[in-house]
Amino acid sequence: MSSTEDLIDCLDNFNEPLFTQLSPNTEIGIDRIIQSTCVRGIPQSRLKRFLIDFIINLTL
Amino acid sequence: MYSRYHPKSINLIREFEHSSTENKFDTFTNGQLVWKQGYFEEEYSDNIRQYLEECNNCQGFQVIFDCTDGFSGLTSKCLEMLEDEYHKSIFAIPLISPKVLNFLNSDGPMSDSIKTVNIALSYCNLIEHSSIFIPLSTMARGWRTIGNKREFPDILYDENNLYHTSAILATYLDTISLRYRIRNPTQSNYLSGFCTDINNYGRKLAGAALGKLLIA
Repeated sequence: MSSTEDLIDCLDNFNEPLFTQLSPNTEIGIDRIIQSTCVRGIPQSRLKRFLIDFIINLTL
Repeated sequence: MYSRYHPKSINLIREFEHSSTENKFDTFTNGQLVWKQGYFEEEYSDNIRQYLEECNNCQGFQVIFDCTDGFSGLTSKCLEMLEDEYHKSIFAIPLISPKVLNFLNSDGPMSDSIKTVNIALSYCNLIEHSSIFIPLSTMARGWRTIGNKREFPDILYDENNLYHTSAILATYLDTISLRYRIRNPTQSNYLSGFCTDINNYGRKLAGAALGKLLIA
């Protein structure tokens, strides 16, 4: 994740497996699952571009 | 190096002594007997009650325990007591150690069999008495054998060093519990909310995964 990137963009462009399993005998699938995800260390301002930025970009 | 635990948080099992060569606290039944016979039940229950009386808002209990030896049976009785007495959410984390010791008077295959039965009985009990349980281990398998170690990007660790492996598991627990440890959480961010989000349809067993995004 670069200094100018938001989390949502980083995840969009992420090609490698994001997680390593910590429970034995499990490989968690990517569909039909219920999950709770916790993210730490990323400031709120870098989670997703503000809507206003999108509007400015669209109008430009 | 020592831990500064409150004296009330330590409950000693006097019948067994830790050994680095073999594990004397072997079976699920042995663990349950420690609870039933003598001092342990009373001391443990009293200590928990005294702690809870000091709490302003107890959300529930996080129970972290070895599920491959006698602690599996002892924990099953502890969970029964917590459920009966307090009716709070119980988030149980059975651990499978990367270090395998043979049990007393048992060879390798016999120890593996005892370990497997302990895990099975422990899971069976957790389905009944916990709100949710997530087995944790840095090894890929957790049944009769423990398999190879998990590889984490950007982490170099020795799978036989319990300080290393427990640091990885602690990182996971510290992160996932942030949700209900923040000050003034919203209603859905209490421990009960965390449990009910995942245990839909009565499914109590969940899997854990840890990821890392390097921020430049």
